Amino acid sequence: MAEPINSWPSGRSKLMSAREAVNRFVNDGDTIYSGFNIISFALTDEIIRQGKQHLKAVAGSVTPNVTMMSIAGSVDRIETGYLSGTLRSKPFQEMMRDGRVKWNDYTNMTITLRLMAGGLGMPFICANSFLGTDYLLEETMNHSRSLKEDRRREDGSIAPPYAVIDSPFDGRKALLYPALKPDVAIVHCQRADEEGNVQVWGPRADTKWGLWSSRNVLVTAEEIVPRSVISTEPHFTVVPGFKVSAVIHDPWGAHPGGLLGHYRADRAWGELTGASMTDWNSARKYLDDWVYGTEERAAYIAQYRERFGDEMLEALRVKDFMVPEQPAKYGWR
Amino acid sequence: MMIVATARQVRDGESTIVGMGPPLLSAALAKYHHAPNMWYCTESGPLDWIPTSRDLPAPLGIADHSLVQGSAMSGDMVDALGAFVNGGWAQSAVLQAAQIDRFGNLNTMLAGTFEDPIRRLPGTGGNADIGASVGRVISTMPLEKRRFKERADFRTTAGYIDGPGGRGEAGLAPQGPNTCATTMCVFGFDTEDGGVTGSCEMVLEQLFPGVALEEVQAIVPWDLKVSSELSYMDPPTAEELTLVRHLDDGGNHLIPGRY
Repeated sequence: MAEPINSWPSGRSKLMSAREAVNRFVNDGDTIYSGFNIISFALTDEIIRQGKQHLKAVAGSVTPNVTMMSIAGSVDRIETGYLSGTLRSKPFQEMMRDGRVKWNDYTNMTITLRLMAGGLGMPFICANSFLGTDYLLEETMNHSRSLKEDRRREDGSIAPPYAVIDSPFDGRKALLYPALKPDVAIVHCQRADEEGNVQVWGPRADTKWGLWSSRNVLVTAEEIVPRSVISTEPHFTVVPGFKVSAVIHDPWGAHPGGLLGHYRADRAWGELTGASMTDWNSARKYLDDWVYGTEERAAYIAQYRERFGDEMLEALRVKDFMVPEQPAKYGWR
Repeated sequence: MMIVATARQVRDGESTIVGMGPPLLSAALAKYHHAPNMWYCTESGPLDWIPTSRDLPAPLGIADHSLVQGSAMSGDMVDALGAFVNGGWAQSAVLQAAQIDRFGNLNTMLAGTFEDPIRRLPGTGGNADIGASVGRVISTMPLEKRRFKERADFRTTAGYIDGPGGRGEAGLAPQGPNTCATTMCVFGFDTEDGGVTGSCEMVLEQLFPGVALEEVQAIVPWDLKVSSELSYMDPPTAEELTLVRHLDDGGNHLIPGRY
């Protein structure tokens, strides 16, 4: 069983390797949050290497790292609003068609709100997004590859994925969505300290509530900084250290995705390596070569430098930094 | 032409949520061209993007890093789709979709059915969230038979649903005037009050120069209503075309020969 988060005494370093973090905190059958803002491909690779199974991926939008985990046999269920880039993969389409991957559809906002409800300890949350649409049809909610079994109640009946009620306050229609409380969250961030104070900037999408709602948060950080760096710009912290279970120092941890202020997405990557997983052959070859064939992120980056040269990697680095014209004045006396 | 026709639907001074794909380019064109004071917002969190330089290309995605530089706020989805759109502060939206139907409902989910899909699509993203609550919708897609349906294969995003009163019965507020800009023409909808009265059907309002009414009618599979004030759209100006080409630096948005 995964350790409860509060087994860490406050202030103790949670710095560890991706291997140790995944081994300790990711269990077969877990619901895993991996959002579409800053994707930890470093942790994605490690989950695949350790052969984790029957994971359910949840996020406002799921991204190609969920394609990889599905094809590798780690993810077999999905709840999301958008399959971002994942349908480029024929194997992934095939798995959705034949039921090896089961799913229910939501939206970017309703998944984020469901995570928020989970984070706030609410049983459900209200949003009107599906009123007047075909999401409310029985054949959508309980289609043959839907997550009916995940919704089975103790008495054997199937709970709906969302439900319309008449508001007890004014009698108007209201649409309820159940709270989401993932077992584990994986994310990459610009910087964190050893205790797990996570700082993220840029469009934050569903990140904040993905991290607040998940029982264990595993974070790969581009930079590990002292607490003093965190505390002089505390407004960048998305979750405080006590919420985080593992901190991994993995530069280039979001590659081939981008990281604001550090590097751009590597758009040539999929074509060069088969990472876009368009067919079974390229998918297996990619996984063998770049996931099973590397032990950790540093080895993956070393292999990249060796095959494609330093220049190609370095060309992705952000060079034109935005500098505050007038830094915010902090201070109180 | 479709990009320009869509951009012309964007009004100066309006708060606008901009969706993935061609809308990012159309809304950027509007902002650079005739609507400098529209609020350019995307669902991942950047609110009120003002390009820091006229040399910047249009964003490639709704979470493009270029959107951070020049935005008034870098929030998240609860801010953007929750407070801004569902809170009622977004006056308009520019959305792409795979299909639209007679009553302006959009489909971004699939062609066919869940059990027998012809093609599964990525899903709604924020499209459904926006369609439920935004003031008016500017949709955009090529005019093609597979896209224009009497009833969308899957209604992901509520337009006027089944006609007058549809939105009210479903529990949604009125919306409009909605428009749909295509590769041959611009459609409006037959309702003066956001879907309470009128037939709420799609109405042909503007033809692109050189396009005949019959060509549009041949593609739309139902008996298409035509506005009594049907007009020809002014051709794109040199300035608009120069801007589009500049904003689509690298050709990431425009597929040659299509838009």
